[in-house]
Amino acid sequence: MVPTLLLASIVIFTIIQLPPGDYVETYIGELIQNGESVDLERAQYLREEYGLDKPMIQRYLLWIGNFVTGDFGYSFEHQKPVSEVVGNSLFFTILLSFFTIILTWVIAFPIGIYSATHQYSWGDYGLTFVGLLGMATPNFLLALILLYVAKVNFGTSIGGLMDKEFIGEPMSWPKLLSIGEHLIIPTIVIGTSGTAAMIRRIRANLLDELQKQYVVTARAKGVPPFKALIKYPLRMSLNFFVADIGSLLPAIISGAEIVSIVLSLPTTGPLLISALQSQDMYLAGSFLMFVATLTVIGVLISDIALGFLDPRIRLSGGVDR
Amino acid sequence: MKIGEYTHDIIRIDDLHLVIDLKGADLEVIRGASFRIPAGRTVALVGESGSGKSIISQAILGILPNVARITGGSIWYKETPTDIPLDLATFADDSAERIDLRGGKISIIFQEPMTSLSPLHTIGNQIGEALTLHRDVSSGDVQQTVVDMLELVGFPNPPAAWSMYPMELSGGLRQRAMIAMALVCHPALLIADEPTTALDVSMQAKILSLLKELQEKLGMAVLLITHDLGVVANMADEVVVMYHGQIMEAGPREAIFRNPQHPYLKALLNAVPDLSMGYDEKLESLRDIEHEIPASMSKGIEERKTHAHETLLQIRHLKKEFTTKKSKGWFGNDKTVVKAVDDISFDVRRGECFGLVGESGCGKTTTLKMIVRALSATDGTVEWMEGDGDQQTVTDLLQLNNQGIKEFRRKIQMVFQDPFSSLSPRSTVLNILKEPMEVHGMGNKKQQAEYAAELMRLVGLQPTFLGRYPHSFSGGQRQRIGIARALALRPELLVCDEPVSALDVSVQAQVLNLLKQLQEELGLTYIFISHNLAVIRYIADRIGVMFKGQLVETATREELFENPIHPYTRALLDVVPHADLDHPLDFDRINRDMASEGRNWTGPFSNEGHESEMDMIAITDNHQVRAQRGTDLQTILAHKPT
Repeated sequence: MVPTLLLASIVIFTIIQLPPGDYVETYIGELIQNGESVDLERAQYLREEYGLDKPMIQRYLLWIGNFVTGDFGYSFEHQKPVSEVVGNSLFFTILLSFFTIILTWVIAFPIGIYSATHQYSWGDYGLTFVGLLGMATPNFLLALILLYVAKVNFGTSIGGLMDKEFIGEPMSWPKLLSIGEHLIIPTIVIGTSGTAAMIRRIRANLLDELQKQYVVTARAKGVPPFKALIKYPLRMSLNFFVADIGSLLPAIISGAEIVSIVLSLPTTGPLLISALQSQDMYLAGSFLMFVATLTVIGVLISDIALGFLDPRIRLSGGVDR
Repeated sequence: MKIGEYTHDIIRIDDLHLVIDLKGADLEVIRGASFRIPAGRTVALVGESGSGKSIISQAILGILPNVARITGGSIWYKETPTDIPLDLATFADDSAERIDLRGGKISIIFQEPMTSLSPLHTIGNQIGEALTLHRDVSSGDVQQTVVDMLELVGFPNPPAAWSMYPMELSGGLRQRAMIAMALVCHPALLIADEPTTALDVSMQAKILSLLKELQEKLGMAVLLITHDLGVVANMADEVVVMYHGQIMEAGPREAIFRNPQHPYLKALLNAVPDLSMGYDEKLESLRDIEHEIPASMSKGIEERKTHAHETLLQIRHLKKEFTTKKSKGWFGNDKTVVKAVDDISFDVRRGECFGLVGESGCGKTTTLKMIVRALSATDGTVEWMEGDGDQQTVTDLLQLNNQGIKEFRRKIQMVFQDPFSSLSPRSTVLNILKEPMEVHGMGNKKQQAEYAAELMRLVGLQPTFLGRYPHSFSGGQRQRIGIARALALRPELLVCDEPVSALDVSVQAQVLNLLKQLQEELGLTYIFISHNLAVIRYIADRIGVMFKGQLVETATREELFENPIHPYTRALLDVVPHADLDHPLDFDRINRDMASEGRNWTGPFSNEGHESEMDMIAITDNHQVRAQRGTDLQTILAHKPT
């Protein structure tokens, strides 16, 4: 796990450093474009201050050393420590992702189970069609359509996370309601694509399991059909689902950038993109490291969970063939 | 209820019609079948695969697949003589009445013990579920009843088995768990759908004996579905023969075996290899095939035949060890060395068929794989002898480098067990047959295609089938394609790994006869492994019996079957069911006799404390047996089991 993260950090750092120039250059370029005069000494000062003039290896060691002690560096663009910049939007991102995932599961599971148990029926075809439609529609397009519909039909502006008057206000009921109202559409938009893919996977996995002999055994035992479905094949097809947690965690942080931009949501997605564009190296680097760490942790969690769920994985561990 | 006393019929099937919906077109798979199952007795339902015997059992239970439905006739169920009969065919599969009967009054055990149990639930959970569904019992009683049941079906440590998962059990124990699950509610009818087909002969005998014993104790009726007439002869009171969805013949066991009437039944009885047949008797295949030897293959055959009976392959001290690591908690590993093949030596002579027989896990396939270099050997030599006198060359196959082994692969080819997975579903037959020629650069494209057509005729298939894909062939036809592929390089030695065990009885004879004829006509040498003693007896000239990685006896076929010396060979012969009423299995002996476990071999055969002193001792030139080194013949013969 640690070597994986170390390797990831090296790759991340190298890639961030690959484009010519650094933040100071981007900064100066911007100033010149705006017609302001540039103080070369100040530029030099900035470079020294942030260690940008040091050799790459030294900068890497400095960055990673601070990172593990909890100091994520300083964002040039926002003129704030990275932890502060990220902290704000991280909460909203997690909130949004949480609802999205719940929505995905709530919709996908019943439909997936129905499709699998009624394979090739009209219901299966219909739901599959809707699912595929959802998968094929670009998210941002759906976001724009819903944005329009909400504005015209319901009169709610859903750009942003809350109505303007609440920004900066302390938390209160009206503010919470406003947030809730604004969360509905992003949740639906981000949820649909995931739902369609999830339905397909539940259906495919369950169909595989339904063919298995032990399902017939359960029926022959006199287990009522619904109970037999839940206890045996569904439980078995959960494996893929648990294995999926590994990819879920990083998606919570970095997911749905484009939708967030379209809906001007203050999530981490747009933040990451702008950080990468302006070569705000500490912000971008920290982000990517978060994602890498979460991926590794997610995989670890799903491995442990799989071990709990499936005795075959638990008991066959360490056997060398 | 005592067995033998006829009281009433628990199931009476009356003119049953059943169709399978194949994308809109109905295929009638049961066409007016009628038979009965008397309470407390065993009825055997016999027929080849596709005859509809399994689907009848599914209809009785109400677990038909979605595409199947009953279109006519009735299934009368009557538990006790005084009950009013119930027509099961009129109820939907998931109606409360049928769910109540399933597992409670009628239960089933399946062929495949490996996949019939859920891998995610403990044995106790799965067996207990059947009990809680049909009986009103408290959870403490459930565990007690299940443990009692596990004990009854012969689990070595029933309380421990309660919390074990199926993957921790062997195939035989899983089948016992399955039986426990079927019987835990004391059903009135047990349907056994090929209950022993996937098991070894010795395990088969034990399971059959268990079923008989439980039937006596619980007084249930058994519907035994099988294609093995040996099993039928030993188990059934009445026999029903099915063919293409119709009942061909039905009656008491005596009448069916002593006086078969229907031509299909007669043919079936003649097509199954059996230990009671004469040594030169030929099996009569249900559907014979014509094949021809192409001219291009006939050259060299005569020359090969002149060298017959010379040693072709000399295998000495062949060993294979596997290391398994078992983790102990978080830290540390236990390394165990498993001797899969433990010091095996034998010769294979030109033009003969050398048979290796033994239970699964005894190392026969591992031995074969080492000979064809699919697996590296831990130790030993496999020497290939060619020429004679001064020109004799000896090559150790295990020492060959990659280039050398490629050359040798032309001379040794393999036929696999499973005709379904050994042919690529994405290649046409032409490509399958051409591939070995391409790898070895035989001829140009045109010649290869011509040669492929010749190969098809060689195994009795139409060359026009070359453009088809494997899925459009039956199991027997696929196995013939597999044989054709193995012969594509004109090998001298054909290594056959259970080539007929995955095939239906009706085509087994066909493939066995083809292999036999090809060997004769092309002067081939075979190494043939099987766990089926009757098959080995039919095809092999000399036979080696393997037990736990070691050869315990090698002899010519007649010697081995007429005069077995090693207690293991004897035990193995005792557990084979004969399709002959005059040779019933001795179930008492099977239960008593632990010889197949290797525990109480006596006298010179005992290897406890003598592991390093065991050796093959020659009885005659053609008969060796494993015993303590230096034992004289008299001692061995004196300890020969009777």
